[in-house]
Amino acid sequence: MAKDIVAGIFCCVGTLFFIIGTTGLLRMPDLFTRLHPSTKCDTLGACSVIVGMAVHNGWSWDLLKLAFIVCFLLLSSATCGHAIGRSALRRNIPYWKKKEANEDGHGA
Amino acid sequence: MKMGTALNLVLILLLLTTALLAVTARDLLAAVVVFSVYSLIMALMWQRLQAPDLALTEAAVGAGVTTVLFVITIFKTRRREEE
Amino acid sequence: MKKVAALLFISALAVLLLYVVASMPPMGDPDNPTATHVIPRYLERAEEETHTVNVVTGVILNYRGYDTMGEVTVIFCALAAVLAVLGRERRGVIHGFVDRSEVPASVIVKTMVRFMVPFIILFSVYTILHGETSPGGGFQGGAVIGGSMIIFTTIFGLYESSRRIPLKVRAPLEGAAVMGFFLVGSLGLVGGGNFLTYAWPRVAQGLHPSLVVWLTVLVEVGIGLGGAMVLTSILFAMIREEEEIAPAS
Repeated sequence: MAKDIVAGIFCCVGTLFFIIGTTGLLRMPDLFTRLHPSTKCDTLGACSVIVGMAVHNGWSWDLLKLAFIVCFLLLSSATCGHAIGRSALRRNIPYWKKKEANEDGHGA
Repeated sequence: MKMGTALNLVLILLLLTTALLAVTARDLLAAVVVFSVYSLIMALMWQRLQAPDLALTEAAVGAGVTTVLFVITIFKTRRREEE
Repeated sequence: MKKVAALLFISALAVLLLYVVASMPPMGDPDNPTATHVIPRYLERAEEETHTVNVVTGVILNYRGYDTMGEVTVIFCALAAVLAVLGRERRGVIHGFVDRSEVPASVIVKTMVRFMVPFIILFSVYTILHGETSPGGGFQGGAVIGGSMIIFTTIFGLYESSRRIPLKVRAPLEGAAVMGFFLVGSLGLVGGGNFLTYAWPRVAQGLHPSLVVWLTVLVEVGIGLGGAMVLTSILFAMIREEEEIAPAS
């Protein structure tokens, strides 16, 4: 019972991170700021869900597989974010600049 | 409504949306990305229909290999659809 | 006018399709027509007859071996069509890959790909070899190997990856799937059975029943290698540039 509750909490936290990441992806004004929520919350959210699954599953060999999935997820997601950001920087994709006339606070 | 039925409904709606978007998108690169999402949702649906073999195939071929081949084709030709 | 006609036609089609769907038997019902015909035989006797724990693999490679052999041939024909249009690199000449991207891959990305690709290939080998006990098999594993080659080629370029899988290795292996199927099928003929009856039943099963499993694994390995090489060759043919440049030192 306690196991289920802990697993549920981890999964809820993961889903929350996913929601935050998606909101950030939709609301942020340019590529670089969008990269921030998408990569960060992708790793955190997915890892929390997987930790929840591991807690739910208990001690078994599946735990090892989940650990491997977490490892590869962290590595590939970070590399992906790096590649996108670097490529955008080298291609001189314009930054977002805050405009004074824009009162509602989001986006140029 | 049962939990599984609701999930199936959501998946089918997503599948329809991505299929329509992939067909109607003028930007072919966007169409390819949406098509890869379609494949991913399709893989989830195969898994829900208890066909893990097909889910593996769909995830590897549909979301992985064909997407890259499409992207290569777009870079060799044109990105925009002609009017 | 045309639009109204199209709308009417599509509405009529939708009504028809919905009507047909509504009259379909419920999913998973044991009294379905599909579940009462050959399925019980497959489910009850697949393990005994095909010696594969995974019934799907047993059905695909054994009961419906002809079907799968046709599919494998179709994949081979797809490669033949791609090569007929795009052309193959000449033997002995290593084609350069003209990197038109403005940003070359960074050290981090290169290191990560170098680190990940062996694991991806390990996973696909697992998928292929465990096709008869767990979900997976030749097609899936071959596609994963093809995917790993795609990752490697996009990062390191055609020169590096075609040096690792040269044409003289790729060309014979492209037919591995069809050849594996054909050889294993012919073994059935030699033993006095039909084509694609695995392991010439009387001889092999008298010797050792697990020989059938090994033949299934052989076909799986053939499909996996063949599929991977077909995908790699299609990728190389598509990414290849016409002009040949000197390989980067």
